[in-house]
Amino acid sequence: MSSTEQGTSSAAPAEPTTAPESAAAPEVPESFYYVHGKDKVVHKVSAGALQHSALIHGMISNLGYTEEQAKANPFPFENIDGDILQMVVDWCNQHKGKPTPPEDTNLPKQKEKLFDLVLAVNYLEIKELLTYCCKQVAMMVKGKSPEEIREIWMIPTDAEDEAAEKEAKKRAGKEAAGETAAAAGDAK
Amino acid sequence: MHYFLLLNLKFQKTLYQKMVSWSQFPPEIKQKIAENYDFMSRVSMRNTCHVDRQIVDSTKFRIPRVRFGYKEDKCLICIYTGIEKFLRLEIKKCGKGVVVYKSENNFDTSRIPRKFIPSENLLNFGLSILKSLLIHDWIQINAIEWDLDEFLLKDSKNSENFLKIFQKIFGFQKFHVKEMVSTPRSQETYQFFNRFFIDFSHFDELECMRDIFVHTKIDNLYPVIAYDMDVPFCGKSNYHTHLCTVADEEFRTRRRWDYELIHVINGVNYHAIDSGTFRDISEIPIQNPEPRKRTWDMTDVIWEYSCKCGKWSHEMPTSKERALRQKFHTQKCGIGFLCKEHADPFDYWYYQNLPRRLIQEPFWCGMFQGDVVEFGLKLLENYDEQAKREIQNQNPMSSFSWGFKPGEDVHITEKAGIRISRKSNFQNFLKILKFLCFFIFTPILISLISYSLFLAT
Repeated sequence: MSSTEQGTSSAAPAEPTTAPESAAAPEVPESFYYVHGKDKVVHKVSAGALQHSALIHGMISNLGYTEEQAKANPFPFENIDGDILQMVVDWCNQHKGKPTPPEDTNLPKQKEKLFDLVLAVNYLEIKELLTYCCKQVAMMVKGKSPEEIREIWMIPTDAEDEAAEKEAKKRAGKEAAGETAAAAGDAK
Repeated sequence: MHYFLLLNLKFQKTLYQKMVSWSQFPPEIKQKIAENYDFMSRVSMRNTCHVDRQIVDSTKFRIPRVRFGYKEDKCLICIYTGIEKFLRLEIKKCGKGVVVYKSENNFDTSRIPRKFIPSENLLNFGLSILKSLLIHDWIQINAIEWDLDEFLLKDSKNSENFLKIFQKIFGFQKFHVKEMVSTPRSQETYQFFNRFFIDFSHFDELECMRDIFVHTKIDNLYPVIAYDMDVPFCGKSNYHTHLCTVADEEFRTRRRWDYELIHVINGVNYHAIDSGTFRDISEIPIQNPEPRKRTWDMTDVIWEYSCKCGKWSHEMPTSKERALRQKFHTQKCGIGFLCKEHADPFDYWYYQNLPRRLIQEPFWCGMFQGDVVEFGLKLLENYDEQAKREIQNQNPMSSFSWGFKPGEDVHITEKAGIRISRKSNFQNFLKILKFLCFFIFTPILISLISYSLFLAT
């Protein structure tokens, strides 16, 4: 078992973020799954909420994962920051079984968080949330000049890009020359 | 579990190593984001770097309507991006240059900042902006409206020169446009406009051509009657559209007169006229689901229809009845752009507000008949202050597009989108002062500290 699993399984029963159970179908008890991010904090999410994520939904249906197995082995998303995963889980819980509204105003306004969220949501394949996030990112450039966008989003100019590429090529060439020289020395 | 480990590994490889930089975003996400940019954000984004230019160019952008006007040393470019949303550039000749007025969702040029740009030729300048902003493969325009100086076009030599200027500026580039619209075409300008429409649009994408006449009266500023006559040209629908804000008998009888007028203007065979459609929302019709047929002069057939939206009728030559009837019979609502329920929301808004142009932009009212300035002033007198403000769109804006912020010093060059920001002299002076302070006072401070240390020891 990997270190990740050990970490998560120990944390699993300790601090789950609960999701309200569906009131619409009380006779069928809803199953729950567990996910954790970089911070190893386990989040308890209902199957209904997880349906938003095509990736997790696919995993569950393909692997025939039972609730017990899920509790013992939460889905590890090692490269998603804990707070970002929390945001995603909250969103999935909020929009469980509901039609998604045309706009979502609760998305983060800070660039770093929003960019992280976009990448996480893209990976988890949550189509609706990705649409909102993309709209929010697009809104960030409204009224901005190319210079301002370059500054905010750290976009290098074409000249800077070319210079960096040339330098990388030079460095690669030097390294290759060094390696061949070392190989020749070894052969001698 | 092995499956998860593999997935996680893939995730680590492909996803972020703590990446928050835009440049590291995968192109498919950038494309998805680009689909949500507004028009000027796209223009701005295209100028950041060539990768982002390619990303923006790979996504389509639809513009519902564009207006270009040129007359009496004035030029107008108005880009409608949605209902109540438009970017407006008015360029006026001034000495050895031009003055550009830019506004967003506002027609009033008296309150917006102006900018002088040295340029020899007003038309060339206006067309260059139009080209750089709108002739791209990623832009699809629903309709372009041309309000050109009829006086210039009347002379065949002038109209040839006009075409040459357009060809010189646009080169081989053409608009991706569905509908080309003009101010009323007269006998002299009919051929010019038809040639112009075909020359400067991608022919396979062009669906129809149209000229619009607006008949309005002080009593009402919303069109209630419309009449379209289709005289196909080069296999494309070619409409002569009349809008009337008052349902009077004069307009209704005028249709027949138009039929004959077009016959004379075009110099075409009477049978070139395909059909005419009359639309009326002035009164709630007695709903009669059964279409009614009438004949007119033995040469024309009229099919009358009605639904809860209004009533409409199609006139056609008897010879074409069989072919066209099938097409018209299948329509659920034939009210077209007058119908709030079935028309495209932008088209409905646009045509409903068209007569208001008399108040908003009396100079650019080529579609209206008679002395429009005087008529517009008369109309304006009839409205109270609040209604006037509403009509002239002087409502405050919360956020402006790039290049359209009031007070922003932006110069749209011939390669529109390249911004030349000019810092004020005062800002430069402050920079120099800071620089001097640093280099004069820092050594003095250091020497004072060292001297005090020396005294202490």
